[in-house]
Amino acid sequence: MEPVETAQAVHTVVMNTQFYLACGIFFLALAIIMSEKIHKTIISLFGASLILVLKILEQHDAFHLEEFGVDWNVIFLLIGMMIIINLIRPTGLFEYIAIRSAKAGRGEPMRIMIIFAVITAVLSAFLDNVTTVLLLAPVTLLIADALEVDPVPYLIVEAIASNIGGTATLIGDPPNIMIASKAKLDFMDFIIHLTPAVIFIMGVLILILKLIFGRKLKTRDELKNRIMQMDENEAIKDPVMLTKSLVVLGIVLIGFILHGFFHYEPATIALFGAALLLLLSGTDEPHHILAEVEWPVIFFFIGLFIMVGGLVKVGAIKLMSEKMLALTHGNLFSTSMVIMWFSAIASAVVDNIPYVATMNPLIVDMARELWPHQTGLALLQHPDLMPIWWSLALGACLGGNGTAIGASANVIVVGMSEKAGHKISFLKFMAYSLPIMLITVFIAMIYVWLRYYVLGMHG
Amino acid sequence: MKAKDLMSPVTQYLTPEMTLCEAVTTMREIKRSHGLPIKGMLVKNERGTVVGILSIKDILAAVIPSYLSPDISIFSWENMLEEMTARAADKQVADIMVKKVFTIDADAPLMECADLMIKKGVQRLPVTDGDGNIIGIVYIRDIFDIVADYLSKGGQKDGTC
Repeated sequence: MEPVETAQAVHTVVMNTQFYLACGIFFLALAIIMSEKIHKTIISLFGASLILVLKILEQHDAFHLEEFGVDWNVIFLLIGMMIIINLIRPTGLFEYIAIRSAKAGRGEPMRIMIIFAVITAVLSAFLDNVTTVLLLAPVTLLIADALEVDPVPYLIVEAIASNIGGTATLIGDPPNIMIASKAKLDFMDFIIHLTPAVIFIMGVLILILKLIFGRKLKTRDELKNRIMQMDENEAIKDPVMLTKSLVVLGIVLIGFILHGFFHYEPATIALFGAALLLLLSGTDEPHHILAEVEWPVIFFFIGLFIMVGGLVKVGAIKLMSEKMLALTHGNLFSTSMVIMWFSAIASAVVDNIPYVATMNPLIVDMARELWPHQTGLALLQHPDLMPIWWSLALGACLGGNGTAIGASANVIVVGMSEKAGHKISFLKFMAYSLPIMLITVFIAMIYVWLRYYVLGMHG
Repeated sequence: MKAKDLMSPVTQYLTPEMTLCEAVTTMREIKRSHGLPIKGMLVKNERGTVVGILSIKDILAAVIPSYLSPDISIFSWENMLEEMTARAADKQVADIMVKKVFTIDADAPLMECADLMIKKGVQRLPVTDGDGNIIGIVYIRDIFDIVADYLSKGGQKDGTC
């Protein structure tokens, strides 16, 4: 055998071994994460470190290359927003909003449920969903006790609304943050393409809630008075800091709306907001604020990016994208429908973050296959590819509503409810959430079909 | 002075199966030798093993809903405490007792007792003999009395501080 051929054979064997190793590490990690035997952050970091130790990825690839490595735009956008929220939380703004909302509902249980659903959705569109439900659930439990009504429907509806609301914007839910970074989409793209769908879905959710709970939720007039006697102004503990927070929030929001126009990455906006608010807060102990960043979540992302980078490097993602195209015969409408429903079902069972982390490079590979002569934005934002990105976002975000473990907000709500003495079984949660998930994904499907394939409104 | 010199005997125990109502009734009936009411009791199961300790703080904590925090309890209503107490009434001692019982050796000096109480945030320490059997309890009040006596003796000669 010629030496060149031997070298090639060795190379092929190494490549094959690496292929199976990368896939083995990733899917084993995913299985352990699903089993919840070991904390997902630990598994994700361990899997990532194996990818590096086994030289499936060089450290340089993992840290510095956009194609294989950690997406720092996602990481710093998350960190920036977390710092901002950690600084705002102690001002009492969120308790103020919650009490004010309950009073706006004049103590009527049904009206309060709808207002809380809307507030949750709006807050979730701008904060992460877990933060939103963590802030609202305690007030919800208090109000339910005050009105002597069962808090469980309220809490489940809030989890559902937070997953729906989070779908609306670039910063609403981690899948959207990841998709935006991968496809180089800006804040306004999400507002234009996803927010209308979410508004429509929320309208339908409210109708469903009225149908299910309209007659069931009742309370007595003297109990309503308890709500009306609460003074929401008492919630505001630091009016000066609150004013500063609102100013910075305003700046951040304007920054997000304009970031595409001025060619800033969203992470730049979030980091600027975080740094500005830290500066304005006058704190000389930033370590408290920084320690409260959800580091386990951040490191979970870092580990995942590296594991998925390994899959990209060994060609596993490319293989999957070829299979996907073969399945739909290259028809993009079928592809987007398959992606939406598959994403929804997958996200109902597994964390939608690893799912989207895997799907992102898969879709990029698929685009390369379809339009081999395009590169850069022309490829990533090819008009025929856009509905696929939106289908992925809608499916992955709305799918989280499928089961009690489909989204972190669901897990949090179930945990808080159980601690307060109201156990929500897996099946009880699903009895509410699965039908709503199926209806909302169905609406999303009609939306994508009508908007992009019938009316052809790509722009 | 050592723990064993200051400890009071343990005469009665709670059981894990008692309801909150039964537990508070028992606690209220017992007075210590100097007539002060008791604010915490050990919990012993039917096999005679001490499985926990229950103080009046644990009982108050059991009445407070898990979702309350100082940010939110400002919105509680007038008779919320009564309502929540009624809801907690049939909880059992086993659900709310503190299972980790800090104990102290009979020969431990009082400084060790005081340090353990303050650092662990407890007001009573069961005293154990060499075999780990509980032979008494040291109360924070009794250590305080010793400290107070020293402080007042060490004051000015005319008796003022």
